[in-house]
Amino acid sequence: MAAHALKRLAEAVPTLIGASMLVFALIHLVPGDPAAVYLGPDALASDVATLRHHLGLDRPLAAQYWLYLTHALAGDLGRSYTYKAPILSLILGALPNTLELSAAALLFSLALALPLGIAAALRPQTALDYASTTVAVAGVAVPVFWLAIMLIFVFAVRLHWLPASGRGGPPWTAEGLAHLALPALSLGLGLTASTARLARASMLEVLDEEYVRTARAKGLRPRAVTLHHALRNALIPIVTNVSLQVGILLGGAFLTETVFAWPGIGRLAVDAMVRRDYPLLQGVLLITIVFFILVNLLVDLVYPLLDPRIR
Amino acid sequence: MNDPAARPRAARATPPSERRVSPGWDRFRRNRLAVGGAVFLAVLALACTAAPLLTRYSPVAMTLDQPYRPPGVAHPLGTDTLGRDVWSRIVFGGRFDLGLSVLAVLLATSGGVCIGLVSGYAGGALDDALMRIVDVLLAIPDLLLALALVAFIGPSLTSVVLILAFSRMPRYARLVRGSVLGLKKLEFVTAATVLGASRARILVRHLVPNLTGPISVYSTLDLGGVIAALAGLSFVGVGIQPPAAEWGLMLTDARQNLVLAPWTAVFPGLAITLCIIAFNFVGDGARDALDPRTRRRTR
Repeated sequence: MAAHALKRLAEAVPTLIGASMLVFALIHLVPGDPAAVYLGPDALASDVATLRHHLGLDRPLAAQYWLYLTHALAGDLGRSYTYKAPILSLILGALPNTLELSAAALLFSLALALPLGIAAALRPQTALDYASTTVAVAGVAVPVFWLAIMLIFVFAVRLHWLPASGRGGPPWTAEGLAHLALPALSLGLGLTASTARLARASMLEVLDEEYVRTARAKGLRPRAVTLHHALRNALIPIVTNVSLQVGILLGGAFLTETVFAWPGIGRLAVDAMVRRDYPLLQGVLLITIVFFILVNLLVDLVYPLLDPRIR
Repeated sequence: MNDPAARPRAARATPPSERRVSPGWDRFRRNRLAVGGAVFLAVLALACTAAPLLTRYSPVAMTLDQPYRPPGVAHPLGTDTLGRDVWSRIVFGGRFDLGLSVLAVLLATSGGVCIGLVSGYAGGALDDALMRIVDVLLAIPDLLLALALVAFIGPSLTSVVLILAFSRMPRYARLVRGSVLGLKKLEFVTAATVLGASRARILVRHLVPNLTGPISVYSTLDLGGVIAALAGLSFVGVGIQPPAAEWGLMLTDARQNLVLAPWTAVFPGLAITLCIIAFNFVGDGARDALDPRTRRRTR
């Protein structure tokens, strides 16, 4: 158990280093001189030179990376020129909002997908099964930003039930919840589809197992068999899938936050893209990627606890 | 009938014209969803190719005296804020969305196949090095990777296609490498080696033909994701640039004019969604056709 954890930790280190190299290298992909592009065509040559020096672009590549890495590890991601603030504090200000949105979307998707998938597996080839499959097929295919626009049209423009954009406050207040509803719904529906399909397939497989038959033969009530014997084991692949979904959530958050003007890191990044604030964009990417890698690591570590057979 | 020895004789008895139909193609043909998806995509591709014949309007020319026309006789899908015909923008836009996505997937497939073949067959240090890089790229959500690269490199037609392909490539490489590891232990590869076939010959003549099935299934399923990614890039402003007609870009305009012209938001989104559903159906159909085992297992 501990050995497994250590091995996984050790494996994550090169990935993290590789990701940091990639994010660092991005600034050098900017065609021409990043400092000149950043300051625009009317900039003075002396200003460009100052900025080049400030960004460390006048040093050798290896030295630049070393500087970037050591600073990043010390929590210094540089300053954003457009926001005139330290990048880390900008990200830390926006990150909780993205996590709030992602968590709400994930909860929504699980609350909808698990009953749907389980019901479909318990009654295969019935109208219920077909209905849930149809929802799943459509949900996978609808692009998150289009769904977001359509939800805004129906619930904000036409019905005036929910606000169309922004964050209204903490999610436990009515205002906050109202603002959270549509973004979470848009972001969550795509996940619902894949989770429901997976839950159905996984339940069907588990229901075929000998231990389920044994439990039934013992005369246990069907509900007890479904919940304790089947569902518990069927959940294992779903948990793994959730870790993959964090990636979809993070990617989707960029689009959802743009549509809903949700003040998270996705919108911060899109803002940075539009304003060519490269250091800010690098910072957001670095934090997002590291977060994603760590979540995957965490799921890998929790996995053997859920499924002792893995050990 | 059940006598196993009777089977080959029965097979020999079938007329040559019927024998040529492969069982896989037969299974695919009987899958109504897959055939429906394929027909839909074929019709759409044809419509996009023949776009100038299907509409009187230019996809980009503005007619500022005719904005916000709801769908009607003159404009079947209405006009947008700048008086551009939505139907015309859909069929011309499909050239970008379908054409570039197919191109990106082809590039991702060829790149991934090359990396996966070399990595899986060579093994050793080269394999380790390539897979380390693939691991890092896989550790980044693909949409995020694409967004990041376009944001820094700058959006042009070429860069968007190459970046979309690049962001998908690691998965193909992984998939191919995995298959190659399995295949290269099989006897026909050993036999070819013993017969003195060169490495290149083994890769191209013996391994690649055995990979086409799984790879084409994966590519088809991936096409839906690539269309969504392309539209998403354009939607946030780092994909196809205005005033071009492209579905994601159309949604950017539509979002700002939801109150006055909601139909401009409906049709591009519908086009993207239907394409993704169709590619999924075709891909699922192809997988079931090539590997009947999956069909029975998922029921």
